[in-house]
Amino acid sequence: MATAARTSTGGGGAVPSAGKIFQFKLVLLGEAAVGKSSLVLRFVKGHFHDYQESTIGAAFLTQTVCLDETTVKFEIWDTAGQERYHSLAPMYYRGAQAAIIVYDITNHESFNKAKAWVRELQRQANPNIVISLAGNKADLANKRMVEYEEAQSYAEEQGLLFMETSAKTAMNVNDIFLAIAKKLPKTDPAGSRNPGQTVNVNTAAQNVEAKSSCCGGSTGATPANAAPTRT
Amino acid sequence: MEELPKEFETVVLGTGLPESIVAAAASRLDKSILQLDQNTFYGRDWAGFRLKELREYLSTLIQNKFDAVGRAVDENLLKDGEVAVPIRPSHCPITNFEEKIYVKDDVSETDIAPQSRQERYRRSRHFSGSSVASSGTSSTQGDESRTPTTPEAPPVPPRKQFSFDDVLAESKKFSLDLAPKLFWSNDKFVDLLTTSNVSRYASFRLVNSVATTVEGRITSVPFSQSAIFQYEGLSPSDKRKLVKFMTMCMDPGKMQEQMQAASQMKLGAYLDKLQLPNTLRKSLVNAVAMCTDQTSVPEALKRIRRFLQACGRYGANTSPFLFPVFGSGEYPQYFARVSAIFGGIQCLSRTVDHAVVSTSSNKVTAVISNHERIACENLVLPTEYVPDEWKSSNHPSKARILSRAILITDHSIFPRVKNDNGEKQACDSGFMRIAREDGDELGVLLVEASHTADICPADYRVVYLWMNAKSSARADLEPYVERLLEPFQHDRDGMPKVLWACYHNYERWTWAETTEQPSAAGDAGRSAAAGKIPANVRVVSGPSGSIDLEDVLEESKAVFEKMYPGLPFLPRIPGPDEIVLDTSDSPSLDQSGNKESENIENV
Amino acid sequence: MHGRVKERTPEEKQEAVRKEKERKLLGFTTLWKDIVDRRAEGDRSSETLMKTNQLLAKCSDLYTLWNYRREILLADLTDAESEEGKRDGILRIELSVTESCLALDFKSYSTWYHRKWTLEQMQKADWQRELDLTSQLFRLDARNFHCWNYRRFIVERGHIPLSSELAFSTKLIADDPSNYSAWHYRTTLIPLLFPTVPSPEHQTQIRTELALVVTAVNVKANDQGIWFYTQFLVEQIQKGGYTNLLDELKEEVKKLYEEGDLTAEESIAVLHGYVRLLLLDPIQNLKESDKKFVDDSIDKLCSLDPLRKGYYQSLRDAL
Repeated sequence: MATAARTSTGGGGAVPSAGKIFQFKLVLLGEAAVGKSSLVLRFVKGHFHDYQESTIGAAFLTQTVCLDETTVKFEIWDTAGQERYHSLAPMYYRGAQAAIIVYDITNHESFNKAKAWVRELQRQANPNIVISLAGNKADLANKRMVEYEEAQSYAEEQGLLFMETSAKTAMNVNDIFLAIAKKLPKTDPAGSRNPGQTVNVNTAAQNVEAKSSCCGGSTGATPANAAPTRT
Repeated sequence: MEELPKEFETVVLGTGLPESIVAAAASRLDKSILQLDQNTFYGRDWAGFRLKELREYLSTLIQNKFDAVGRAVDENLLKDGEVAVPIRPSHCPITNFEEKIYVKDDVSETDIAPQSRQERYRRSRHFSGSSVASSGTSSTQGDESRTPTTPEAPPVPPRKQFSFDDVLAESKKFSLDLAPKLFWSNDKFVDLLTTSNVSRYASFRLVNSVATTVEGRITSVPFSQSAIFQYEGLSPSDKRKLVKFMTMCMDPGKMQEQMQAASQMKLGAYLDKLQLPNTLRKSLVNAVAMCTDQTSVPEALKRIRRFLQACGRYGANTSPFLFPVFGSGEYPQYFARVSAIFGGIQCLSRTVDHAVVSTSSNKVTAVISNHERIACENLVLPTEYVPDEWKSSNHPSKARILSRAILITDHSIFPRVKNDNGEKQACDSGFMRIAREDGDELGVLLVEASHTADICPADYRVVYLWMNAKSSARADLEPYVERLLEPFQHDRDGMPKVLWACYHNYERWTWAETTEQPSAAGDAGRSAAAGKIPANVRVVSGPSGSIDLEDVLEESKAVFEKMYPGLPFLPRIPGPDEIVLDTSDSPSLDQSGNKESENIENV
Repeated sequence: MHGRVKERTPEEKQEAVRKEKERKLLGFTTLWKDIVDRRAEGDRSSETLMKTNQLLAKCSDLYTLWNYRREILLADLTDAESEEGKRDGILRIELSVTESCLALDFKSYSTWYHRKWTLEQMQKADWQRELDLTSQLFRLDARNFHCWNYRRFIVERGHIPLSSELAFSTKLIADDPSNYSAWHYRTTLIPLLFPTVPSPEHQTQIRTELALVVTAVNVKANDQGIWFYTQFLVEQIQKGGYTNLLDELKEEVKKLYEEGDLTAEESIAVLHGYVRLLLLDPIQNLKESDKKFVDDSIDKLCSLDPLRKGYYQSLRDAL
């Protein structure tokens, strides 16, 4: 689901770990061909292709980063190419807690467009969204058209995180996501909303099926064939 | 902005719900799809808006001219044997927009120092009738005629003071639907959401109250055995009767028997035999069967069964309904996105001026938009866009007009509900169906939701009302508004208060065959007339007055079937562990994004 | 087109699954060995704690690991004696660990035991939250005896008012009149709430119980659990000497039998219940008409429910 740390109804769904897992929706923005998909693929899959097709072909990808006491799971959304015709659906921004606006350091126009995306986010997204600016293709420093300092001061002005990245060399790719993970608030959002009343139809189908039949008692699991006793 | 490709398998005019579903299904088959929408937003008549945007949209619509005369066509764009047919919406389906602001500042600036909304106390208890506003201007003419609180009046308990400006300041947090809908918990539409993976972004709130009115009073409808068990004011033997009746409805064999035995009866007579107390009987007819005493028994039993089967799906005591978080205006976007993920293109703020038709084959070969020719093999368009020359005596069918209202209120109109701990708390979202005196089968439908569904800020509620129109929306629905909510003249504490109401009529045209009597021209006339529309053009309708989206699903599937006979309709999209990305040098990857690491936790 | 996704073949899927299982198993056995070794060395680090956590998440019945955890915790807790709230902080983490494990298997003796142990160590436990947890788990399985035992433990330790427990039981029964555990709970709560019998409070409560039972049998006439509870109810009525309530009960059951449009199965249960109620009175006090009715009923029951003929015949001995 696209919101943070929502504990599901009943006993199902909580993933065990030393600390808690917080889930955040992260959206990518930026002009076509700045390398948004490459950046994500590098982060999620750890690989890079020079001629990556323009969209990933998936609704979103996920990746987890471990912080000291907690784990942060990113649900990374791809624009699916809708930005090419200025037709990004508002649902894209719904519930997004983080955003990365990508520009190409060898293309100053893409940097201008990035600023427009910042304004768009301020208009459409929730006011507490953590925005970070990524100057991608840092490996092509010889073709640089956007100075580091220019972007850095703009980012400071707007209160954005900023890093120059390279999906090709993997420079700063993990770092930018980690920086975002650190900045995101890790609070239990249960509050007054009574999350038990929210239904996500995927997990609901599982909850309906998961009815135990017999009485308690261990299955005598030994290390050799251990498996969770209940799916 | 990139240039659009010049050729697509299908061009879809509009990003409304049926057309987006068709676009998604077609994209899933790897067809190249282009959706063009003349609006700056997704959804057409299904769209959701923020408060300011909704008011703007509805008020400016009236002023928009819908010119019958299209733009001149650039002859260069036509090939031999082709003609250009102007495609423009012939009329605006939304009419009679009216607005009423009930609350405004009654504290003048000089009286007190500026205080936050929460701290202001209500100064006067009497709002005069002349303080009615229209179309956004809040008048202050009522000030002089207002009487100050008299010394004898009992002290007014401090209550949150709202002014419309406060409401407008939070415009961004509203998500108001032009065509509000609920989902049944076991909806086929919900199944579609799961298979198309839209469910990964869509979530719902349980509607925890179902009600009707009996003799003017709001009555909760017990929809589960548990609710019946706890229902006060019903004798054990009456509870038994009701439970038996409901159990019978849930048993297909028994229900068949009853349906056959009472096939000629009307629901009213049938229920007379059951001898249920009046309140319960009305609840059953109005809110569970959602029909009238005149409905045939087989039909009524089917509906009751449908209602009951959807109950209890998410817990012993859950109603049959789900309210979509962020409202139903999101759904066209969800499906448009599915289309985009599979390669479809959406382009807003783009009109199509002409369809290009080949006279020899009577098929659309292209559309012209912004002086560009975009070739296509199929065209999908909403009914209002169909040019006159493609219409016939039976297509489109006669329009049905709905009256709709959207209200912003401060408290729920539904009675408090018991939560899991047995404590009573305010209703989260509710559904109500009120029977109409004239026996209209749709009745008056009402849906209420709150900030828990992310459609408004905390402290407010949104109420939607709609019915088949008799006259203007306001004339039709305002009486109900005033019955259910605190009429602005009085100040009864504890009654939910309406802050703002807007009304509009919506005219719905469908292309599909109607169930009404065939015209005198007969079948021959009809088939001849139907031949006018090019064979590769499909028409979709606007939102209906139904509570759910089943009719949209039916229509989308029917259109899809005509376009791609025999091909699968939005087959299940592969899950994370079944997908391999098209990359040659990578070993098995999974889309859930988990690296093959030593850390066994991520498994 | 664009970066398209390709679907795997079934063989590829199977192979992937097999590889996955192998990998999991290897990970598991490695970790197990590691932990065993650490304990042998007397390791009490928090790193070890995390490792046990990982394994327990997969299989919470490994009580050896819970024991080891407790060893480590006891050491940590004694260290934290001085700092206020630190103890409870450590223990709260334990609670969330058991919670995660319960989420996967809420019938593991070891996990429940550990949770109980944790709460017993705490200075300021959040009993209400524990109560809510059991309520949630009951939704998944209303008869989970681990959960019931645990709830009783909480009620006792957390000084939860028994009246609210009674209300909880009522709610469970409303949700499902067949919830025998909920009915049984009442039989333990009522004597505790109303130790003095007879008393006006007790009588009021028994009247409420009567209404509850009557509603329940009307809504679910052939559930044996409800009839079984009726025996308890009768006992309480007799203890208190509230004869009018007994008459009322008889009347209601009679009404159900005569007007309830019962199915064959329901008739057996209701008729049997009614007969037993009638037979509560000493035979000499029974009216002739009632005696005849009982006699006829026994015959009827024998024909409706021949498997239990012997039992019904034995009722005749009372006559």
